[in-house]
Amino acid sequence: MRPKTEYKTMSMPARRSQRSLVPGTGFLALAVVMLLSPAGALRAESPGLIGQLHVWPSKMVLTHNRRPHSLVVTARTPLGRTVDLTSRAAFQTSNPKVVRVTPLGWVEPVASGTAQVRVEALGLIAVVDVEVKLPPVMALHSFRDDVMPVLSRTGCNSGACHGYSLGKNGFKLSLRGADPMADFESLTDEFLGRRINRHNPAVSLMLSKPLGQVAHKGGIRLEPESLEHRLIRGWIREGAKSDPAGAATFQSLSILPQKIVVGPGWEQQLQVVAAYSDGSLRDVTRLSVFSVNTERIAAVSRDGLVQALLLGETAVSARFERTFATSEFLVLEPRGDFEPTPVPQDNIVDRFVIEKLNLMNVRPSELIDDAGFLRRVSIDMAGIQPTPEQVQAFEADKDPGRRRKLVEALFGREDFVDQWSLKWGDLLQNSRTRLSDPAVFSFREWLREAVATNKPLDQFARDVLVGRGGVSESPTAAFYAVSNDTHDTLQRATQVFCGIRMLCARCHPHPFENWTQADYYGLYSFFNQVGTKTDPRLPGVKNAKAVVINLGTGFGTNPRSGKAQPPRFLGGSEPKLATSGVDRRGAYIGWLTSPQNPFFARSLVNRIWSYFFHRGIIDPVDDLRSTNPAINPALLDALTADFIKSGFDMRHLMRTIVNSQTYQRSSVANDSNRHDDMNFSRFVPRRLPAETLLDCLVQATGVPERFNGAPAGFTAKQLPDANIQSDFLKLFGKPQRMEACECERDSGANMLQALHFINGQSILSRVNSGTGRVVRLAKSEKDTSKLVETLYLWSLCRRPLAKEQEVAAKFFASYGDKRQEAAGDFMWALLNSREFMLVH
Amino acid sequence: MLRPPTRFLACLLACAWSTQLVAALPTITSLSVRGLQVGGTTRVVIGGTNLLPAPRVVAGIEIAGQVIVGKPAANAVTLDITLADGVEPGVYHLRVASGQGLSIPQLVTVDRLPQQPLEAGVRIEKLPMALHGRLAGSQVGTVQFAGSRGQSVVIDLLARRVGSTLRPVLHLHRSDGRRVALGMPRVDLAGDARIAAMLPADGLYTLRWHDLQYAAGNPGNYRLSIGRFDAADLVFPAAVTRGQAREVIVLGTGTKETRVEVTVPRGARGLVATRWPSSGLPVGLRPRVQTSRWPEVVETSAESRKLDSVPSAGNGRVMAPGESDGWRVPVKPGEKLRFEVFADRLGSPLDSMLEIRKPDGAVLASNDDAVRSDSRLDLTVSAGLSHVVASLSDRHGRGGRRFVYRLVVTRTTDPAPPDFDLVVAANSYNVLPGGWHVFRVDVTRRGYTGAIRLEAVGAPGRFRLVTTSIPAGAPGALVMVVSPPGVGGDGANRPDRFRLVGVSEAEGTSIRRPVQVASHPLAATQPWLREDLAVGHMAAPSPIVFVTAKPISGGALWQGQEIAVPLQLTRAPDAIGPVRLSLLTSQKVPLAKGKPNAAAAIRGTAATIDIPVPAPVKAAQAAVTKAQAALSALKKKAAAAGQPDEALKKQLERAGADRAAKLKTLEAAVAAQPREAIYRVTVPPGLPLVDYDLAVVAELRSADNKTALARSFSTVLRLKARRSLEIAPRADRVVRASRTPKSDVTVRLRGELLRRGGFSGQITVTVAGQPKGVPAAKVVVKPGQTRFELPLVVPAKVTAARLDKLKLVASGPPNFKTPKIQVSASQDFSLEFANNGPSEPPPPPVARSLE
Repeated sequence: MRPKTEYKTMSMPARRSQRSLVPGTGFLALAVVMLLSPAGALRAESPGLIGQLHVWPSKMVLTHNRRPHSLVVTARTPLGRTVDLTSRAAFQTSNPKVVRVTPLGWVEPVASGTAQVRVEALGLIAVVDVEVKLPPVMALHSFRDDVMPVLSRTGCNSGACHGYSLGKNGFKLSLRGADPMADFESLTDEFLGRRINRHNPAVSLMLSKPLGQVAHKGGIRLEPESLEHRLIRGWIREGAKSDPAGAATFQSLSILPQKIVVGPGWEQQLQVVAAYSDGSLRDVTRLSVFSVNTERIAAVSRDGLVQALLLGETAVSARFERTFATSEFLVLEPRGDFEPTPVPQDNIVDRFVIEKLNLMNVRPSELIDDAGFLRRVSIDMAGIQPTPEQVQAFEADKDPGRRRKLVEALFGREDFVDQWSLKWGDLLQNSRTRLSDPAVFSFREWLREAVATNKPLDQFARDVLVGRGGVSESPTAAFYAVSNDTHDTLQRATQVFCGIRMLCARCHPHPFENWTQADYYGLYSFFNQVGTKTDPRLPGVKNAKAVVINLGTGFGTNPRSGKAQPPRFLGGSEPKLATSGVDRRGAYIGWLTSPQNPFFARSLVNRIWSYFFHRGIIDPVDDLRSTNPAINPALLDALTADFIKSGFDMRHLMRTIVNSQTYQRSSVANDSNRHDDMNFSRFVPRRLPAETLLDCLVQATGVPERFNGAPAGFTAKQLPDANIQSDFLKLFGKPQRMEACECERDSGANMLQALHFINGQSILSRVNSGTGRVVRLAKSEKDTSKLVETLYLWSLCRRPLAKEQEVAAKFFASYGDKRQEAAGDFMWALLNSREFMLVH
Repeated sequence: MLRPPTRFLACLLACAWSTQLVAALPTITSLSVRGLQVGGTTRVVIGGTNLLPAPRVVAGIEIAGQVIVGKPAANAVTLDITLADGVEPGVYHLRVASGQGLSIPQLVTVDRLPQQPLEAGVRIEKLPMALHGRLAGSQVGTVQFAGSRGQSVVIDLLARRVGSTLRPVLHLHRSDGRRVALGMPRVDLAGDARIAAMLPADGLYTLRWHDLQYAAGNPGNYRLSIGRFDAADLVFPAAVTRGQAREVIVLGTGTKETRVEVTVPRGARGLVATRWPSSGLPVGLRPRVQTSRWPEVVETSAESRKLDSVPSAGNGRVMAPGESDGWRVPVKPGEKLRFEVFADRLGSPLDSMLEIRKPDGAVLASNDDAVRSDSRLDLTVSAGLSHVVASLSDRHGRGGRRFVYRLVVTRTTDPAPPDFDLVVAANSYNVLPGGWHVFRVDVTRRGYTGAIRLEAVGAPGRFRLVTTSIPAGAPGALVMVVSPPGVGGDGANRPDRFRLVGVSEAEGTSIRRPVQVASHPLAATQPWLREDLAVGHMAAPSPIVFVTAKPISGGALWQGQEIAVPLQLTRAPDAIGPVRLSLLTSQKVPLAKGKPNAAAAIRGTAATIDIPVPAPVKAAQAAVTKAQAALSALKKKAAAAGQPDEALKKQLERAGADRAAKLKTLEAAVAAQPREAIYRVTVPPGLPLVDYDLAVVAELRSADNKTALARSFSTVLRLKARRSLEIAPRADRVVRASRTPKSDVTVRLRGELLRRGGFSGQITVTVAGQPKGVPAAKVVVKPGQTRFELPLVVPAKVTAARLDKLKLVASGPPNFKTPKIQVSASQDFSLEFANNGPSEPPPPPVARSLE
């Protein structure tokens, strides 16, 4: 066992320093880490390693002359961490005539036969069995398997370069290698094949430009004699041929390690392996493109060496042949003294959250007090603060199960219906911008009824997606009437009910996911029978549409292939559906709402979770993809399974969430979770949504808001849509319902909002209103301390602390006999406090 | 009874200082319940104006008894109204009659349910029940009722079906707030809502309702029926051939289909009401069927969907989702056929999609929406076809027992039988005792141009109709309703309901059509209510001006000219105010591009004529006012003193005498007002040459001329429209002339103009219709002259031997003072050339009288 300082010194050998980090991936963060913890995190770790040396893979079969395989060497620390020892391992082959091993651990085939590679690191030894089965004839370079990955890795086919829709400087490649055949023709045939010089491959434009030997606006993309250079040159040298028919094709991608816990400053080499249709495996680590999700947490080099930077959690993705594989990195401070929190078993939320927190050496915050819980859960579930009467009633309830009782009572309130039909209205874009007035109100009524009756969400989705006809008969037809076209419909449907953004795949393969245009137009073919006509039963009504289904419409055409694309479930199979005569939505709806659907329940659970916390378990909630993994997959899986088991019961899910200790945590951080804002170890405050903020203001001050264009007496969250004149709601981010994206709601804070609260009429006019609550209370309540208490209850839903009463008494005294003015200013101050503006 | 001077004074004061309508008719502004219970007594609070004296309810059904509850007021009367047991449920008119006349009607539903106004916090103890109320804006109605587990309840909100603007949404909750059912506006209920629910538990249920957009408009009336009852939303088949009897299915609230036998009279047209099924508790609109002049085939199976001939109609239902009904229709090559679906227009939820297919299934034509969501298409049958299949389905693939349709197949080349419609603007008329009221009946002629006789049907004979014929070709007539003296006394609150029927008078026709009110909220579903007319008899005359139109010499409406209608105004002694005269004619104002074109209408030369109060009357009126004020002040002083002293008594005497003298002066001044007046009527130049009725309306205005106090009509003048300018007819329409080849020829067209009815303007005569290259000729005929000679130069290059389609056109203003009003006349002629000769002037025309 080596001293940790020595180990650290050895962890930064010269050969590693040559591996540059991916440009723009956290240089600054890395510098900060280096400054703050120069000795590295291992110092805090136990100095010894335990157990055996682990080598990936433990055995290998090499079948291709030019395709070596890397070895990744790790060992375990006493605290269970995995340490990457690849860079300090010594490799030795048992038979150099069969294989040789580079100092970096790459095993290269020499001749058919078997051999062993001995790996030694920090005194530990492991042996890897290697079998080499080379073909009798040297395999030719493959355009698809050798050249295309190089074009992706060097960025030649990126959107900023020749992958741009119009190409660059007359040379166009398919974006991210979506169309190898087209790229082959561009390279070999276009302009009489000037890009390839088969007689003198080294001077081919395809090489001389990226090597910088000929002027190239894209700069130098290849290093001379690099792997990439050698692959392209080899392919040209062999005649720049296309791949033979029947050649093995790429099937899947895997990454190692898939999940790892490391300390700040630690490094970990990734290994990316491609599987082919003939069963062979290929180490494509040096041909993959790496990216890191949260750059402040970690940085990754071009060759897959990950450098942990700050405490936290992130995913590192590798892309090869438009396929992604993701590795999760937890960067933790080693804490030998950490006392794990007992894992609760009575609530699946707490169980998996605590398990994760224990893994991360994080203690959760304490539980919030009753008053705080009452306000938080009232706002989240009903979109309104509790009134003083409700606060007092809750205080008076001594039942240990009062919090659960409160949750059940909230389900029964009309405010609950208002709140959740507002959310669905936003998401389903129920708006007079594209719908008629009757349609908006009909759909609104339908949504309210669905929420009020707790319609199971699978049935909810079925009803929404099956809509047809005029809104008078079928309110949910509004879902389709909102869409501009089929593209809009499929994108909205997948984003709302699967949490997946498909827009990119309309024109090219999705840049961060495995969706292709075939996937996109497969979905398109489910929905392209849907159209609209002017609703003849609502003559003269603006935007009056009836949704019609044209069963004669054939499948959509994939523009890339120019062929009809049969309906295809997302990432799945193609159901056998007739080209006409059947409403294809039925098959889609059946697939979507099936308990086996990998997206539907999961995305809804994640979405609903996000309404109670500052983020989803996957965030953003409507951008589910393999490169954006869940922060707590076990939690999401458990909640999803429970949600399905409950019959897609939204209230059951909400009940599970809000009755958990996780939801009821205080927002006050402790020493161990101060840095954690992702794992729900504490409640992260967030600003009240626009409608809630305004409704709470109205309730607190007793001065109603009058909305032009809305029915009299409607509160902000009851408004039918955003086509209402309200500067306040606009300023605080009420969505216009133009997108099926949660991101349309602006939950951020800005200076204008602050100025509006300080100087705007929304508060000033209310606290000074002669008919408002403040003035009435100031007149009727002669006892200042009681007046202050009442103002606290209306504004902050709690009683003032003794210290606060003291300050208030001085404040009122400073106004002399101007009691009303003092009360108004006092409430103004309370309403301007963060305690009022935040759910905390 | 006030003594005349006192009454005169009272009226005088009213005229002088009040804008209140003296002859104000009763109006109904609110009804506590808009329903009456059959075989029971319903308490109705009527809110309105001028409900006194002697208010009484008149409905379209027999009222067994009505008792005023409490003390009636001019703005509110409470009545207990009892209906006999045998009254047919449905929707009827309800009017209020008082000594001041008859109100316009309101709609009330009549059925066996107890009727109750909706009051705040109301809780229904026993079902069924009908509640009546009104919603405005974002108001939400609430009611509670007790229900038991398994109880079947229907909740029906009737609003749009009876003309309300409310688009109701119903919410049924349990006592713990849990939702039981939602009722949204339904297409097959014309936008109304209905819930049919099986109650899940014993307990109290809360029903809430509101406008879909929380914007209930006016009227926002509704009727809420809760319990178990039946309705007649749809009838299948929707049409029955005239003169035949058929069993139809009435589709209502329940799932069970009830049947009723319908017999359609041979002469019926449009919708006719049918009986209710014998069982059940009918509520709402009466069941009705469309009368048809064609065979109506009703589907009983897929094989039965076959028409034997064209024209005829097929009646069916798209019973199951995705179902398509194919009707076999016999055709002949070359026939022009029209396939028209009636579904939306019947109230069916079906959004039809119609396809015409060949026998082999090939689609010949298809249509989705033509009239609202109903389909219609025209097809010319191609060769080789003996039949086609008309396939009918729901555009959205739905179906059900309420998806009723009627497919009518006709030949577009078949002429429509002659017919007409008769329409009036109002359905209540008020007549002074011994006076009359004039109203216009408009005719929409569809192939029938003959005269129409109007008959009052069901009238008790207490009024008389005058001018009850509509002349041949005329657009309508003015009808006088004359009330004999004395009717206004006892019969003041007993109006006469009647129907007015037009009967064709031309030979070979037998058409009877009811006169219907033009606008009625239930015109599409209960059209017989449009025929319910009534005459109210006012108790006593108000200050009034009677106007009499004297016969006009010449007696014709000369096109483009002005005629003077001499009037005699007879003022009642207390009719002091200004008078406004206006014109009423039997001509509907013609439309130009969809907008009224006043220039084409018979109209007063001035839209209205105001006859102001003469200065002496005004002065006398002011003097009376002053004298009255002085007298009142003294009386007040005397009353304050208790026992007035002699001086005060003398002052009182003098003031009384002064007032009496001033009144006398005023009476004399009123009597001395001019009685004669002339009302000038402008006749449009292109007025069709038929008979028209004219009447002058005189309005007595308040002193400030802002309000009409009373209105009277002159007797009706019937005048014929005539041409005021003509070109004397020629003996021969061909004008012959000779010409030499290669040289121009000048033909002198001679003629004579006939000026009628005082046509005095300058006339321009020209030629129209000449071929290109022949210059237009023009000649001006001065006032007083009639003959003209028009040189028409035909250039040599025009080599045709005969020029047809030429036209002599004469035009000019009948009155040189109104040069913009131009009248024209024309005459067709042909020009025939004979070669090799000089041009010979054509012979002069042979004039003949057109009288």
